[in-house]
Amino acid sequence: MKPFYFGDPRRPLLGIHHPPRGASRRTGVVICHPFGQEYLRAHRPLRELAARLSEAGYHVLRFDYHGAGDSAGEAAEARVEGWLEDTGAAIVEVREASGSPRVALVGLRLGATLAAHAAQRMGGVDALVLWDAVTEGAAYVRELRAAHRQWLLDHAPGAPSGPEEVLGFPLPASLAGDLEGLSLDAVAAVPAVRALVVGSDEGDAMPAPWPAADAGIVERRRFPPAPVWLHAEGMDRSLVPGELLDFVVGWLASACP
Amino acid sequence: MKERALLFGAKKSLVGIVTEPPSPPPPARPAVLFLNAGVLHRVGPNRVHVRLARELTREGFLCLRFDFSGLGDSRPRTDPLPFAQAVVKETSEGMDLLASSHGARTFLLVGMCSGADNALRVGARDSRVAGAALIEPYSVPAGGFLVYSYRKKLLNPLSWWRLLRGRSEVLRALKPRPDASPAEPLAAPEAESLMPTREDLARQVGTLLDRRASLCFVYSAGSPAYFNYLSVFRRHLRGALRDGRARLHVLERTDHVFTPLSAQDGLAAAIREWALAAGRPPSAGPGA
Repeated sequence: MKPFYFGDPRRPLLGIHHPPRGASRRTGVVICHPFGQEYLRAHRPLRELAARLSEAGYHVLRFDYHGAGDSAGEAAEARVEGWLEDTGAAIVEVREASGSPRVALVGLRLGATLAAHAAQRMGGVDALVLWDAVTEGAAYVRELRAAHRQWLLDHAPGAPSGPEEVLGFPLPASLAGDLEGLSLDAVAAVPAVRALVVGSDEGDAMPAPWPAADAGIVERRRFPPAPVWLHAEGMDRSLVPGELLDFVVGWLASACP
Repeated sequence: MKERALLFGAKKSLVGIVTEPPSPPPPARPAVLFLNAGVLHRVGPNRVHVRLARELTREGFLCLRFDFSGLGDSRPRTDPLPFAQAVVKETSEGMDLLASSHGARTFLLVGMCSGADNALRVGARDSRVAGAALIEPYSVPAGGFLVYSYRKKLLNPLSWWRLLRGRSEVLRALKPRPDASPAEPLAAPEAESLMPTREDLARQVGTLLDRRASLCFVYSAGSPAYFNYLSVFRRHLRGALRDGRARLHVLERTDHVFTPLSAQDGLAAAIREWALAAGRPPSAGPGA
């Protein structure tokens, strides 16, 4: 495992490369993180997913978007267009590392939405895994703001707070506008050879995108609720849904053998 | 400002990000290390370590934020060294790294929650530590703690409504837990050593103050951690607060992890002022 910076030197991105352990499948996997508080809480399960994929022979790249994590930039200057470019840069990087054009994207929450859009834009993506994807950006922003208000009410009553922050992170009007305009519906066709849509939230509906797609192209699977990105005790402990992670690794092994 | 990602430590298994100021800092200026808060990785709660590291680097400090073994991106240790001892060893390895790569001789530690406990633990043992910012350190339950913790809830109609609906946090805290059985034999010593006692905390603070290290305590006024200050630290710090070896900031209307951005601004200002004062040559005086 190696940490490094990559991409445009004016806005370097932090990447963590997990090379294959044992025989290489000569396929790269890019893991796309969620946003804000969800990013922090999901760090551990996504690291664990990367480790399991690496054990299974994949080149795995986790990375932080501009203005997030250890990447350059401040959260207040982040834009969705930039994050899509960052995802594209990560695809280029993992292809270089694996020495092969074969690539899969795995995204959680907003990371899944960005992965689908990036796959549509870049083309040539072999497999796409959407894990509890944000399907409608406007609803997502409303949920974040409601969760923020509730958190302050419960934990910091009377704290001054405006519309441009959610759960400890800036949400400037520019980014909120970008997110509100983001929808999985805009990705009309399945943007990969095969896709896996995974649900592990509190709902019971099967994840929505591409309902008319052939089951041989889009597989859907719901797991017992384990919303790793919501885990309220995020600072004390984190959730690692082993069964879900193993399923994703197994599915990728069949989609990108 | 330049940021570099690297692996360091005896087995090159610790992941760290070094932020370097545009021109090399004077050798006398301490470098700053950020320690993990809870299980969160090196960026810190609400990414505040990244913000602080970059702001301090703009002020001319060399900074390192890193993950202890088994946290964030660092591999777990393969030896049986207890975590409480591993954090001392690994923070020292972080200091060794900056000493050999940049010639740093003294260091400031910044830790929030368990990171503050670990900063005290390391600072009491490694004489290169010239100061520590202790943000919401662990709270040691003691006489009066329950009343202190729930004093605001007693006056809050919402708390009484939750109590009547059986959804009270107090009820949950008092309810016997199914996992209350004795800990596994192997886990017990480790768990004990992770949680400092009141005596540990007082001794560690005393060691640092005797060495004339600079301490900065930052609390959320509503947090149980502030009880620690009132019940453990206050009497040990009176002299140090007077002569400037220690600072105290109590921020209102925030939570344990400084979720409101306004609270993060207050936290950043407190840490910046403290670091600049701690990094000033002794002869420069307070007005320099």
